[in-house]
Amino acid sequence: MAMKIAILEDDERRRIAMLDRLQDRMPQYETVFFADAVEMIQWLATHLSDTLAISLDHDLVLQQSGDGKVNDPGTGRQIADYLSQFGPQCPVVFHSTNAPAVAGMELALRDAGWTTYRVSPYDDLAWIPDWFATIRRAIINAARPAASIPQSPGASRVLR
Amino acid sequence: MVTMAAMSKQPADSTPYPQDPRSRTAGPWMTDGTYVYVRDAQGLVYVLPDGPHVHPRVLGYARPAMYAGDLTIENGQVVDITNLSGTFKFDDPIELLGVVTQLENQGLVVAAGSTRFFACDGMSPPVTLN
Repeated sequence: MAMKIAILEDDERRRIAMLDRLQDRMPQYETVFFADAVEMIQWLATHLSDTLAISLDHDLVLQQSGDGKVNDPGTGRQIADYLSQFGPQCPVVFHSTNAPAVAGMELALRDAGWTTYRVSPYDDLAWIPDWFATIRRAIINAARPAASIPQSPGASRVLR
Repeated sequence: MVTMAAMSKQPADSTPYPQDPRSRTAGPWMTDGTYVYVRDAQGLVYVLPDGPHVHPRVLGYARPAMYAGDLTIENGQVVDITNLSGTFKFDDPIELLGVVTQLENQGLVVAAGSTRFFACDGMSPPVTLN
C-alpha cells in the first residue's frame, strides 16, 4: 500500500494545482484531500502511520447541503490539536494566509515534537510552486539513513 | 570515459517536446535553487530550473535517459539530490550514487548526506544513501 500525502484544502483550483505538481514529481505516493476537519481526523485515526506528509489550510468555507442546511467544516486547528496528542509521525506544512492561526497550530505541534513548515499563499495560485518546494523539502528532511545499499539493480526493496 | 551499465528509459510522456533552451550540463555555474536533472546516454547530467512537467524538456524530443531526478543547490553546493521524476521513475539507488559521482566529475560539490532515494512503489519514506 502506497504511503499518503494528506491535505486539508477546500478550494478546487488549489487542489488541482497541488495534485498536478505532486503527480508530476512523486506519483508513487497517494494524495488524499479533505474539505472537512472531522472527516480528516477520522481518516488520520487509521492512516496516520502510513502518512508521509500533511499539509493544512486553516480557514474552510461553510458548506451548504442540498436541503439548504449549512455545515461547518471546522478548521485546520482541529487537525493540529488532534495530531499533538501523538508523537511526531511525519512533517506538517501549513498553507494558510491566517498568520495568527498558523502560529497557534505551529505552537501546538512543535510543543509535541512535530516538525512544521509554513507557506503563505499569495497571488491566486502563484504560490503553489513554493508550496511544492516546501513539501518536497519537508519530505526530504524527514529521510532516515538507509539500513543498507543494495549491490545489484532491482534490490532497492531492502532499503525499508 | 564514462561507463554506463544501466539501462536507458524512455520518458512516460512520449510527446517530442523540444529541448528547453535553458537546459545545460550541470556544473559550478549553477546558482542557488532547485533543478530537475536528466543523465543522457553519454553519461552527462543536464539540468533545468524546477517547474511543472519539465523533465521531458531537459533532453527534449522524447530522448531516453540513463537517470533522472531533482536536486537543490545552496551556497554553491548540492544539498539534496533525489530520483524524483514522474516522467522517468528510476528505481536504482546505486545509479543515483553514480549520478552524484558524475556531478562531482562535472565540477559540483555534493554535500555529505545529501542523497535521498525514493522507492518507486511508494510503500516507504525516502532514505538517505550517503
